[in-house]
Amino acid sequence: MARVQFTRHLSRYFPDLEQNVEVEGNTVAQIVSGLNDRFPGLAAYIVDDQGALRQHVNIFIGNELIRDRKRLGDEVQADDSVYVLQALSGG
Amino acid sequence: MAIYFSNAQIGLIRRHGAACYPNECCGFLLGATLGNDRVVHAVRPVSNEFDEARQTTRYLIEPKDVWEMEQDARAAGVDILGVYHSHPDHPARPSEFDRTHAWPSFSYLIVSIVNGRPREVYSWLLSESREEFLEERITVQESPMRAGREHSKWR
Repeated sequence: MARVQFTRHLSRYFPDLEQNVEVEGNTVAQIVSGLNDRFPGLAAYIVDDQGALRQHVNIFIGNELIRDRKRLGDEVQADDSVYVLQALSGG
Repeated sequence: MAIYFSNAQIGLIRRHGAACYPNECCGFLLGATLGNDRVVHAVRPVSNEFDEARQTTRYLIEPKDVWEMEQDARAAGVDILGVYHSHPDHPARPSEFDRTHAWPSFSYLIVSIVNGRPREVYSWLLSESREEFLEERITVQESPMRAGREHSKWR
């Protein structure tokens, strides 16, 4: 199972969210779905209604930023570390 | 609901904004939440990583900078309360771009810089509906964690 770590900001909304969560899935989309099963509502902070990554969120697999922001189809290996991070921007 | 700063912290933000003019500056607000209030323990300037040609109207803090700051804050026993940035030659009010890129519960402090000089400072909170920003009262103290003067804005 892949190990997922989150921006600490999300723990404000999901106090039970652990620092490291192990989730099964072969793609980022499956990982997000698995996370939402365990923490209902979490996916809404990560993806929009169409399942695309929200503008202010970035997901890394290891040190690599995922490429498929629309469908989250990037492959995830069982020993991968996945990071769900904030991108802070404005103008 | 208020956010507490020291004079030195507000001064640092104002100087950072002036130094980056005509580009936007940005940085972190680190501290603790006490009931409905927030106390800023430290201000940490960071590099604006938005495309250089557009830094007059945009800022970006890279995810890796956010991640590293989260680790540092956690080790220090504080939280990232929010971020600050400057509005060169514009009021310290959030833009539509600010709204669409904001996180609920974060404090968004904006300093207006006019002709290179810092002007007013306001802090904003995104509503839970994400449809609007609400003003967050700024309280400036002589030093952190002491009673001090209150300002809805700081000129």
